Amino acid sequence: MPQCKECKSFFPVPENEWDYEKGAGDCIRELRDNKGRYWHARRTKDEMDALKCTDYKKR
Amino acid sequence: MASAAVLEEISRDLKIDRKGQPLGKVMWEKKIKEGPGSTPRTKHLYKRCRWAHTAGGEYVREDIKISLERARLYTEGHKANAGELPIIIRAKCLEHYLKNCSIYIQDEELIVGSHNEYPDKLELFPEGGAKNMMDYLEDDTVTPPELYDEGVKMVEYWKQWSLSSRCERYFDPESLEKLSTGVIGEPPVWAHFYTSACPPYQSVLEDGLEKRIKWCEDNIKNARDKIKTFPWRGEENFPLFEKIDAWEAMNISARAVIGWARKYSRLARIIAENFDLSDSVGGAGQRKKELLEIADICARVPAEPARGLKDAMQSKWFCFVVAQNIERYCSGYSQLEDNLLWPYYKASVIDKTAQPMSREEAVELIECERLKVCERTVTKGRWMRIIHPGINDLHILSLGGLDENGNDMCTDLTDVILEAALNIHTNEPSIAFKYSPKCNEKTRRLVYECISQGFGFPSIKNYEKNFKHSMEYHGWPPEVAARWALVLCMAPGATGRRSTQHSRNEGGSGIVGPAVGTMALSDGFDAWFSNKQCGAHTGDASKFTWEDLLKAVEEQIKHNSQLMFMNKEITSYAENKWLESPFLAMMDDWNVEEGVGAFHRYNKPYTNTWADYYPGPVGVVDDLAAIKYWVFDKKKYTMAQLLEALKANWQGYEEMRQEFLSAPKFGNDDDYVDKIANWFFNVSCDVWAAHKMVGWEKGATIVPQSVSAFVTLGSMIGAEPFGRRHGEPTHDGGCSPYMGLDKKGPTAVLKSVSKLPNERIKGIQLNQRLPVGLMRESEKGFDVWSAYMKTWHDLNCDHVQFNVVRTEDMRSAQKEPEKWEHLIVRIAGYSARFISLSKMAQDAVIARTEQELG
Ligand code: SF4
Repeated sequence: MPQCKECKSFFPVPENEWDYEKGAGDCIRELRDNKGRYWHARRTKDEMDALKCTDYKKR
Repeated sequence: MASAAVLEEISRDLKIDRKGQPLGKVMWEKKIKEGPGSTPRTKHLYKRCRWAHTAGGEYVREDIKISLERARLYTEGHKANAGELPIIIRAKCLEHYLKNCSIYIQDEELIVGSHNEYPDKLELFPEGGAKNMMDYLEDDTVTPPELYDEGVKMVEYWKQWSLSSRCERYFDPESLEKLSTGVIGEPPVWAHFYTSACPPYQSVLEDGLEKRIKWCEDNIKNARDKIKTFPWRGEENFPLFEKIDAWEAMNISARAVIGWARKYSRLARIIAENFDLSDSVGGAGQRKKELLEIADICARVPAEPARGLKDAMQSKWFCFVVAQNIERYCSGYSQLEDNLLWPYYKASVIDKTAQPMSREEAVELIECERLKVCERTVTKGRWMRIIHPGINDLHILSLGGLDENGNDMCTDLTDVILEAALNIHTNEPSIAFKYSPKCNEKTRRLVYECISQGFGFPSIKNYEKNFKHSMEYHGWPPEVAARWALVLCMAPGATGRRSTQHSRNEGGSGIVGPAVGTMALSDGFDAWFSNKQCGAHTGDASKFTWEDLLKAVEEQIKHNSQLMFMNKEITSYAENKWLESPFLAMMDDWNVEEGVGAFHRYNKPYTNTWADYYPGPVGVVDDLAAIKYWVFDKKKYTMAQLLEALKANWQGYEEMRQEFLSAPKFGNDDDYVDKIANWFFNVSCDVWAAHKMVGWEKGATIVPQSVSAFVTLGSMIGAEPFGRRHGEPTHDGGCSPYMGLDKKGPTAVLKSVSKLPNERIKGIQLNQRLPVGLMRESEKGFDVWSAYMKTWHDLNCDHVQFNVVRTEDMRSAQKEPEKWEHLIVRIAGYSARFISLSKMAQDAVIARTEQELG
């Protein structure tokens, strides 16, 4: 079962950061809409099940 | 006489080759040809700007949809901490949100930070109450169906905790019903969740949050030491418990804001190091450099003091996003921007000692800020959205003025901000210019050029008049009274490190001007919109003498204003007790010193208790003049006949209506009506002063203005004796003559305005329309306008703002809106994109009398 930590978009939150928690990561994706592109970060966990995520891209 | 050297300098700064033509004309043509923006970046950002304005209460762009991220995280935060003290709950909700919220950075941005899950998303505030939440949830144009059930569950959860439930308990059912109609005044904050705040940015820019956290920690330590000191002193120690809680809440919030800003730092670095940036406007290398610099800035501010202009702009923006978009939704973009940012501009652009940059780069940064404001999505209640068409929100910053010793406070940064506005051509944020003849010519010329481009801003406020008023009526010391900035559209508020201003609770809110007249004629019953007893019982108007009529009007003013002030302070009480904003408190030196929340108002240093008439009340003046003229002086009609005609909305009484329309009208320098205006405004000032809100024994001051309620509330205001029919626009501004009824020219308007008790009035809005041919296309425009401004200033008028737009252009824009996206008009205290206005609002602007100057 793939997990977030194996995904290209997963960036672990460094230990010295305020929002660090064990396993916490940023899911960072480049997104586009009719007004242009932007980079979006949402909170995720390294062991989160990536099976249902349509954006999963293996590293 | 205008100086040629000044004109040349401005043309050079703006990179305009005039070729002997008027500057305004060349700028206009350039904009049509090349589009707004002084650099490839801002041209790109303008083209893809995510405008988020509303028209008719609806969001104009279909892409704007709600998100429940904030509401969800705040609900989780509240559930997890429900047993805590209210101010700690507020801090913990903010902390939970900032830790877990999504963030994003858009291409080409130089200033980063947003309050929503994705661009174009609206975030909701369930802690306000059910009414506004349900209005959004049930609107399927903005709420995707999959969010509805979750949203409704949140509404259920918050019912017992919301601001509505905290406030409603203090009202009797009758008052509650009257307030809720919106017929006699603005509905309560807890119904539409509309409020505003002016954060004291200066303290964060100068100190950085880390220093302020240490300050709170020291305060907590000192308080703990104090309570351990022998012998026990209950009187002194008791209040310390509440203060300790407040300081702890401030620190939870401030630490969370630093952490959240650093999430942006992390994101910027990850983008720079991991993503393909090759199609950036300046190329991949340049964008990577910019993103790494953004990463560096966001790691340092707002934790640390700002060093240069880039730090200051970013730190200010972060504070704005949190204090006015996340912790609470608060309208406004209040600041004395040139004064606030001057030390950082000087360090970066002039001295080049910190974050060195060119003047052109500073202009670009301000253009980026303006575009960022244009993308701000807000979720105020429908009543407020309806009266604010064509904008996202009331975003108004202030510039200029003099210091307390009479020295010009305009700097090169003032000019840079005005130049950026000229370049980027956005309607938001609007600008208010603190006008004094002592302000230097270059700045005044730039103000004029913005007006001549048709922006409708800067709106002009009389610096000296407002300096004096702030000292005399609010008791501010000269150095504070000199540095006022508009809180929202029209009312000056203090700026500086201990000066948080609020509206709706302390200042702001308002009663409907024309309603005090129409209610006096109907014994307080509203037969036009709500079918309810909204005003006071003042008797059968068909039997009124002239004196009875004046007395009835006065009673209606008292009744309606009583409800408003009662509502304001109930809200203020509940906000302080249950819905504090600890981060906003953390920004203010006084709140930190005293250990009190942002809504605490006892012993506040610079109180500012004021409230509006909006729409403005000049209709009442014209009504009274028409009645006096035809009923009591000429005796051609009886009161009973007039009431019949009004009841019929003048249908079948056209001849009579024309006669009432021909009675003396305000704005024509006619003492017959101007004396009535003077009486009306003096009575209103007396009534306002009699209402003594917390913290200020001299009583409240008055601000007559209109927002765009003069159009949108036309359906709520019955037919008026001066000749207006139900549904038609009322008088705009606070003292503007009725459209088309000022027939004696601009000086006569100013003379009528000058006969009002201006020294007692905190702000009163005057809208004027000037010809494009003179203002934009003539070399003598600046001189003629300057002469007009001299008369205005000599007459001690408070305010004036101008529309400079051709009727044919507005008509063309009505027919082919897609070709006129850039067309901006002044509506009231703000400027709007013309194509986003309702047809009725557009027609009202077209119908304003175009004054001939010179
Ligand atoms: S949420 Fe999806 S896109 Fe994001 S890291 Fe996990 S698998 Fe990848």
